[in-house]
Amino acid sequence: MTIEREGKMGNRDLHLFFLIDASDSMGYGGKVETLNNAIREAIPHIREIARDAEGCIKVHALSFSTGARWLVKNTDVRDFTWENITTKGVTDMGRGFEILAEKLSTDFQSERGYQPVMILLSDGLPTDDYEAGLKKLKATKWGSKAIRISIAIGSETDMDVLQDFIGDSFRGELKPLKAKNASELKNYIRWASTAASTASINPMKGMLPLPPAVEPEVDVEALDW
Amino acid sequence: MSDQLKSGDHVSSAERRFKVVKEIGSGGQGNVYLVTEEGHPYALKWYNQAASTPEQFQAIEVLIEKGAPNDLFVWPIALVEGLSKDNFGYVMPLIDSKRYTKLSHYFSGEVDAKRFEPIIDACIRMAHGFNELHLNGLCYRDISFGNLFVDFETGDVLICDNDNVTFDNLTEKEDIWGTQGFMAPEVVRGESPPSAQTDLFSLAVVLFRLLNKQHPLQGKKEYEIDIIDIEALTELYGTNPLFIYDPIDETNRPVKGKKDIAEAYWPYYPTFIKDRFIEAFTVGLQDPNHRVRESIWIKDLSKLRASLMYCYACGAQVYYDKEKVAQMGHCPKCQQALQTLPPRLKVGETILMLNHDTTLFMNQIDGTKIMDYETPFARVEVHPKHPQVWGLRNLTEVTWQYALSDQSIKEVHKNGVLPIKDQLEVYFGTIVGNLRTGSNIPQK
Repeated sequence: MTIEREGKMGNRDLHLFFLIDASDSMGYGGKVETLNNAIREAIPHIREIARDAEGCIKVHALSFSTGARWLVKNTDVRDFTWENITTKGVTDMGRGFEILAEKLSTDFQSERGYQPVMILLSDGLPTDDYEAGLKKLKATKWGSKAIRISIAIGSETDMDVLQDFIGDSFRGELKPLKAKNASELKNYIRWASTAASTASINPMKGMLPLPPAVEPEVDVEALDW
Repeated sequence: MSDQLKSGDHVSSAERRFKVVKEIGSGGQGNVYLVTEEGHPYALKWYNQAASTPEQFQAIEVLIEKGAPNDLFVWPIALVEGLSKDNFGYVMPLIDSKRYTKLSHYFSGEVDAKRFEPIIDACIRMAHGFNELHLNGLCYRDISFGNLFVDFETGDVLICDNDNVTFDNLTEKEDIWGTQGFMAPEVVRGESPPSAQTDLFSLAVVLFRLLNKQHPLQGKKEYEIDIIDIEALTELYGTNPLFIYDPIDETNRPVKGKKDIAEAYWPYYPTFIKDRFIEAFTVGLQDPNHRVRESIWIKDLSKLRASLMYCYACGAQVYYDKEKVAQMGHCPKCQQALQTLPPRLKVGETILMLNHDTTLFMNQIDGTKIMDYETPFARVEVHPKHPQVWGLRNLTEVTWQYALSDQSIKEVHKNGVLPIKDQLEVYFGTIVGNLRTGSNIPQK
């Protein structure tokens, strides 16, 4: 016997989207391996936030290279595991935004949630019309209300594109993060997925804490990009 | 040293040195680590650089010097630094996570409460803890599910993250923060920094949720928001807050079949406690000076504990309501009509249920001893050979007296047993009680 009784909590979920560059260039210098590893390392920390939250954190991931595809859809972070992504082709980032916009304007019609969190990870320059895709994404209700964060992997990335993605998300206070080595990338992915999720669940004015400072360290993973 | 510590790192205060074992939590201001000192485990909160300010350092220093208001508080015991001066942290006792569940984890469904007593006792202890804190001139600022731990077997409570505590004299706008859903409306609106008065609002939210599960302001209005952002939250909790059971405005009721867990609890509570919550979330919502104070909660919650009885059809715990005794209604678990009452003890205007397993506490009998909620007063015992004979064991030093039908006076000394008989008048020292055993509820 417990004191639990029948009824609905009516909690809302937090939707967390990873938009991942899987173009050829991500295959060089261990970038994609680091990324695979970094997302795996972030999972237990996202789970901790989900434990503290009412409602679930649902993870979605898509990759773009030549075209774009869904890797993970609407998976409770408690059941979420990360399959290594492989790299091939060009950087159709705009197509990635488009398939996300399509999903948001169909599956999310009657959904309730916290502000969704979208994390864009890229190392290069889009090869398609990313602006058209981004416009479609921001035209959706869920896309426009999202906390959008972008992380540049290495120094070749077009930072203007990443800034465009962020746009006025979080009242224009955010800048793209630039991961210069593996430990920074790990750190930023963890920060983006956890701090932004926390900021979505418990929004405060100007309360998105900065990514943590890491001691520059020389380790085998700290590849020069 | 950096924001993140590694296993094997050391941190130290002037006199003590602690070794980092592993990370056990993280938050906006930094991470929490398991550390040891000579094999003894502690918790370390390690601030990241942005939070490692001189003000924070000084604040912790003051807290350590002042000491914990009582043993419910997991209080800082040492300020520690690493190799550089960029970061610092504080060491505190480690919470036994096998026993204690963080309330946020309870509300994500990790544990079930088996009985109401631990829930009510936890509510009483929290009210008492914050009462002591406030009497010390301090305020907590962020009473919420992330900082409160409960042992759901015993109702024991721990209050954590005490670096939130400060003197109750904040005036600056930059001090305005908290957790959405717990902040008082004037804090949400950005008008006032947290204070003892705003703590009282947050406490009322915690108590309501422990007893009713649903958030007191989250009814239809919250359900109809598709994506909740800071503007929507400010409206919901700050500019237009409305209690889901507001007695006049019914526009924010629970949403049937969608967001209605409170409907399984609220209607079954006694009128006096519902009235108190209505006070907390109507007048108390608008006026910081008319919030329900901790001692009132302790008094009412102790009375609520004494209103617990059983549904004799299914064994579920239900509440007796003096105001509705002629129409007790049905059991929320098995839906059968409640027809049988346990013996009762009437003291003043209060009626206490005497179930086969009831223990009564001092403050339930003696209204002048509000904080005496842990001192046992009496325990109901069923006669081992005659199960139809129940008695009340005297757990106090005071000798009780009652009159037999021949007018002779009988005494019940410490550890003696008073037989529970209908219409018996008992003198518990200077306090008079009347026993009732008529067990059937008149059906409407």
